[in-house]
Amino acid sequence: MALRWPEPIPTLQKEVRQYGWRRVIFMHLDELVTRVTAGIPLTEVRNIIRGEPPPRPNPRVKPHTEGFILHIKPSFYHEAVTRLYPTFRLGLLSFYLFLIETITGIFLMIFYTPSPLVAYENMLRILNNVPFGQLMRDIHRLGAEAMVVAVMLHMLRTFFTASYKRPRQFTWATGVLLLVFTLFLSFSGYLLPWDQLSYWAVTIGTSMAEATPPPALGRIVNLILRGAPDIGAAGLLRFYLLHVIFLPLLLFFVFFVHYYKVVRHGLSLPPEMEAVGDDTARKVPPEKRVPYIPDIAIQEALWGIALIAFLVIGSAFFFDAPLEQHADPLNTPLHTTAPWYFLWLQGLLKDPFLLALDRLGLPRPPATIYNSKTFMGVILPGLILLFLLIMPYLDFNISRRYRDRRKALVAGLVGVAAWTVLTYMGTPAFAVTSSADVEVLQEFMPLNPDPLYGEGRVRTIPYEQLVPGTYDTRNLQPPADAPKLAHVLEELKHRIEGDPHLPQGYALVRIREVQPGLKRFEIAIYWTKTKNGQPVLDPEGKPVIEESKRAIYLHRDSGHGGE
Amino acid sequence: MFDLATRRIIGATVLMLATVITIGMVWLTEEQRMARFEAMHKAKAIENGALLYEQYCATCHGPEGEGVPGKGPSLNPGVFQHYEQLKAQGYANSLRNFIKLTIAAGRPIRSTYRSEEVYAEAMPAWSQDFGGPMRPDEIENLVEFILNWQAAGPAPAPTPSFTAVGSDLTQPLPPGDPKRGEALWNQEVKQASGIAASCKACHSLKPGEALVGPSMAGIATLAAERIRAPDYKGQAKTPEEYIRESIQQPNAYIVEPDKYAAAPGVSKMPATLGNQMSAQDLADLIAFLMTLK
Repeated sequence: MALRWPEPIPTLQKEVRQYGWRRVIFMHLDELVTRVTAGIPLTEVRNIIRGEPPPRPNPRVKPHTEGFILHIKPSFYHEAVTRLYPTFRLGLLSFYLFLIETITGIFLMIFYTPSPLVAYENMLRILNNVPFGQLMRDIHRLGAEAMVVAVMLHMLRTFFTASYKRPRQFTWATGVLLLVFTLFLSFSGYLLPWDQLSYWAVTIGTSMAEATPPPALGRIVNLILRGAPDIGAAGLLRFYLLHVIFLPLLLFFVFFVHYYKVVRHGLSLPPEMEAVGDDTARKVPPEKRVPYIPDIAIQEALWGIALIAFLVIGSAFFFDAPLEQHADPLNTPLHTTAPWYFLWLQGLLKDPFLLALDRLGLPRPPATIYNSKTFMGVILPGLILLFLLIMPYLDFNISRRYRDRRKALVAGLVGVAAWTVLTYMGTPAFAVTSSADVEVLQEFMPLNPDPLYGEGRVRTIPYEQLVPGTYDTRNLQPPADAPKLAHVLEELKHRIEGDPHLPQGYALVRIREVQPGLKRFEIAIYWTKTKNGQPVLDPEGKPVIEESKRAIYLHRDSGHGGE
Repeated sequence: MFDLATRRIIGATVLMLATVITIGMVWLTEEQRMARFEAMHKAKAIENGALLYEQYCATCHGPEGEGVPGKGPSLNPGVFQHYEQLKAQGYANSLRNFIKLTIAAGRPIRSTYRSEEVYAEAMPAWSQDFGGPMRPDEIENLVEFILNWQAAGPAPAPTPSFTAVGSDLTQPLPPGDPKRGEALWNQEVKQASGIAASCKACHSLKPGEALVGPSMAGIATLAAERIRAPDYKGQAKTPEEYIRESIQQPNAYIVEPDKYAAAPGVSKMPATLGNQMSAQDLADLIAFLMTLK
């Protein structure tokens, strides 16, 4: 039997004839809106905008059952979790940041090739030849830092409000994985600009891989990670693929497991709102329900817009992603640091245990028994991670009340304090000292921007004030029309004369114009060589004078002098 | 005044407007920003190039690019003048590429573009592609630095007129002044051609130190022995004549050809040094060398 329509398809013309055109337009618009919103008709959209209560049955829950995007979201929240406390929206913000990173990241991928031959040139091209290139890069970088902060704070919040407890232990474990993935996502992206900053930060960050015990395995781990004994073309490609494919996919997958569990168990209520041992997140009394549409949706949209505004305005006016000189594997900057969220690891690698033994005057254990790098760089961080993963399963205190959790809260605060101290220990401000003259030169004119001293004081002098000549700190006579130069020379004089490791120290500063618009700035430091506090004498009985020099070049247009 | 949801919507609208305005401002200033960044990056490239020049190039081409006699030709303005010559002969590539190529790949032979100047060695290859130490970005920086000299405009090099002693061994020499000879050796005074003597680029005065050529320590004594040696084929009868012959006709007799010959029968020592000096210069230099007993 031939297939036949039960009745002729109503044509637009017939419809208009039957209902009138105004009604037909409304009908079709209504149908369109209902389809797009997965179930909310046009009249109901109007009611939502007017702030009217939903009818019964409530059509506003339809998108949760019919639509793909909202089916994972709860159709109502407990009123207690819709305020800033206890969630601070940190999970939501982390997810938003992941989306923003994906979008800006794809934009940057268009202009980037993961090869040491062109990667840095690509960065320059993004900055000088791609409209919005700098804005996108700044947002990507600021967003990455914000995401690390948001995810870390999210974990701390969950710990302090005891939201990890039964039945949410597994949610916590997936969250710890998400934190690890976030850190490695950020870290893997760190290398891609292929400048001195990224190259050496990642060299430091990956240096513990080699310490994985036993040594044979350590070598293999290092080779797998870097693609060669040192970071080069193979390492850059590996980090790129980790950054743009592997880690995002992994994070995306684990995120859905995490969020499914969050919704499955309900957002945990503030601890003081339920009886000890109870979990009432899923039993929301009708009068406490806040519907997702429209209240929570508006709130979430506000947070998203606020976040975008923060990133765009912050990047446009206040934040520039750093780009230093081209990576140079042969030239290690004096003060090299890991990214800030791994400074605690760098602090651990300075080994507080051995430093404490030294301070107490006790002998260090032999390296065969206690290998500092292996223990502090691999075993201890591994144990910390394992502990974080299984921590909820080890916590037998069923109460979520703050007053019942004094030990846990103190332990948490001690952990945060230890992290802060280790982070400080990881900075070059702690227990890294080169010779006194090198420190002075680094402070005044580092060859690469220094984590402690920035671009250095010499680079704060405007070009016009770099008056050619030789200046002796023992008898300073800077030109009158160069106040900034005079100031820096004065600082140099005080810095050298106040340094106990540079007895009778002074400096000769030579400024010379080498090319139109290009000046050479040299600092030569001289001091008396001493041994056990006594000046060392040469065969003729005169004190031996030591010398240390460094020169940099300053071009009129290179942006020094506070431009 | 408004309920919470309305306040949130107002807040979101304000923030969205602020974002859009910011993006608009970035859009309007983007062209200038990109141009500024490019200028700044070029300036930084020149700064980096200057450091590289000081480290790798200045020993042979001089700290100001003025050239070092016997080691490397002038770049400022030499390289610009040389490029003009090449262009007149039909060289089609750009100045930038000419400089870049010369730095990256070096020169197969010693520079000869000015007949009166001679150099001990050919320019080595600097790019990592050709076995040198420099990365491509470093070569780019160096090129920016060298091109920046051109901003000052090329300065014409003066060419004084004089009679060169050449390779003629028969021309009688005036009495030599060892003091002036030493000054010539140390490049404190210039030869009659206005070019500093290039001897010390290749010859050390320290005993046993062989640079490109052998040490000149004790040359007076050595010269007296040389002319009596069985394998000596030159025409010199006295030590003075031996030294004179070595300067004016370095191929007449090559000591230790394994070490000091560029090709069989051709000394590494340039045969055109005589073109730079007057008879007086030569006599003074010989007089100085004869003091090195």
